[in-house]
Amino acid sequence: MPNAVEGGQNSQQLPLHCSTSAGTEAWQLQVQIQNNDTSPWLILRWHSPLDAWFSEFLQVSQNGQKLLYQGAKAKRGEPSEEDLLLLAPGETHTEWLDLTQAYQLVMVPALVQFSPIAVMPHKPGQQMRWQATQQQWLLCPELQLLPKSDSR
Amino acid sequence: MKHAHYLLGTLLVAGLFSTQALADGIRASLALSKTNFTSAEDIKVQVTLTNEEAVPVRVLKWYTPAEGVEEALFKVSVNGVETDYLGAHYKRPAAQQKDYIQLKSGQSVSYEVELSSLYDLSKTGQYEISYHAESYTLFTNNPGQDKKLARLGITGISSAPVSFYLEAKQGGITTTAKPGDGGGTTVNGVTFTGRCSNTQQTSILAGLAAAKTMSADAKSYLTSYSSPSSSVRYKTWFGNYDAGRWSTVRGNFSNIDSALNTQPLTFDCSCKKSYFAYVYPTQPYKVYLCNAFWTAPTSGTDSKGGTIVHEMSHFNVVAGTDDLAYGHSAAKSLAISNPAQAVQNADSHEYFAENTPAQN
Repeated sequence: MPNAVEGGQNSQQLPLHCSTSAGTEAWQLQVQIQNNDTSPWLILRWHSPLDAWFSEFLQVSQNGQKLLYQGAKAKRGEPSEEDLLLLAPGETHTEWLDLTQAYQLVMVPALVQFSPIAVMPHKPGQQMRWQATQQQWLLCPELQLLPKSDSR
Repeated sequence: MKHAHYLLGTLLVAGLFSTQALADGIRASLALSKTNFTSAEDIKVQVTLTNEEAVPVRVLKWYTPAEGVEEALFKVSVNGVETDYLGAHYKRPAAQQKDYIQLKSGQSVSYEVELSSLYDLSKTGQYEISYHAESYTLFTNNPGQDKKLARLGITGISSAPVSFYLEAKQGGITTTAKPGDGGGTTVNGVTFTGRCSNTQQTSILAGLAAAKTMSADAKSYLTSYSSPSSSVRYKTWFGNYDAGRWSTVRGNFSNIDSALNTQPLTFDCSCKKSYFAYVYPTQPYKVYLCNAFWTAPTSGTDSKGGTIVHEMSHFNVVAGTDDLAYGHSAAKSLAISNPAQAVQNADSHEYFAENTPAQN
C-alpha cells in the first residue's frame, strides 16, 4: 500500500536488501533490512514493519481470503525525525512481528505480503529530513507461514 | 546562641514523645489561583511539600506529583460527595533508592497539578480537595526512619482542604460519570477517556461541532449538486467524475454524518505520539487523539474537525477507508493518478469535507 507521492522511483538496483523469515513461535515472523551501501539510508517507519500496528502494511491471507486487519490506522502530518530510521553502511535492522496482535488466524497456512517500504539515501552528517522527491521503494519478499500447534 | 540551640533540641525531643502535632513529618499544603472556575478552564492547584522534621526525609516519588500524578493523591468531593479518580494506578516493582526524593530539614518543593484531567469534575458545585497520600514505604526504604515515623503515628502526607466553585458544562446540561470505560466522563453523549483536561474537552467538542458541520455540508453537496460531472470540488479530491464512485463517496459521507450525530463517540487523550490521531477500524467509535491534534485549528485544512471526519471514515462500519496518501499535495496527485484509490483514502475525504480553499 504505497503512499502516492510524486517523484518516487521504483529502483531495481537498490543497495538495500529486505529478507523475511518465519519465527520460532506460531504466527511470528522476522523482517531484516540490510544496508549494503557505502553510505547511510533513511527508512520511513510509516506503513512498514517498523510501524506495528499503527498502519495496515501487510496483506495476510488464509484459504485465499484476505484477513481483516484489526490494528490501528493513524492520521499523520509530515514525517519527523522520530518517524525515520537511519541505517548505517553495512548495518542490518531486524524487526519481529507477531501476527496475532493484529489478525485473527485459523490453523491453516497463511500468506503474508508486504507493502513496499519507503527509503531514501542519506548524506552522512546531514540533518535527518524526509524528502519525498528522493523516495524509493524497497520490496520485501512474501512469506508463507505454517500453523504451529501449541502442544507444550 | 548556644542556649537557644539547646532549647530547640529539647523541644524536638519533647515532640518525639508527645503527639504528632509537634512532629509533622512532611507537611502538604495546597493553593489555588482562584476560587471560581468554569468547566472551560483547567483547574491548577499548587502542591507544596515541606519537611518539618529536624532531619532529612526521603519521600517515595510515586506518592508525590514529582513525575506527574500516578496515583490518587487527592481526595476530591463535590457538595460533600467524593468524586472518582480517573487517572492511572500502577503496579510496580519494590521501591528502590532512586524512587525517592530527599527533602532536607525545612526544605520545600512545589508542583503544579491540573485536576480536571485526573478527577471527575463534571458536576456543578462546591468542590473540596485535600492531599492525602499513604503507603507502607512512603518514607524512605531505611527501616530505622520508617520505624521512627511509625512510632510517631506518621504514616502519610496530608493537607488541609481547599475549596472552589465550578460551573459545569453548558449551563448545567446533565453530565454523568461513566465508570467502566477506563473511568471516563460522559458529556452530552460524548465520552472522554485517557485524562482529557477541561481545555482538551472543550477543544474536542469544538472540533466535533466543526466535523458535524463539514460532514453535513459534504453530504448535502453530494446529494444535491446540480451537475456532478463538472464539480471542481469533487474532481480535486476524487478525480474524474464517475457515477459509481460519486455514489460511493456520497454513501461514505452519509454514514460519517450519521455516525457523528447518532453514535456514542469516545475521545481518548492519552496518546503522546506525533500523529494527529488514530483509531482501530474494527472498534467504533473510539478516537485516540495525539500531539498534532492539539495544535490544529478547529476548522480548515488538517483541522480538528477534519481529523475527526478522517478518523470516522476509517471505521469499517462507516466507510472503511485506508491511508493511501497523506497531505494535500499527495491526495491531489492520487485523485489524478488513481481515482479508485482516492475514494478509498481517508485524507481525500477529510480534504473534500474541509474544502479549503473553498471550491464549488
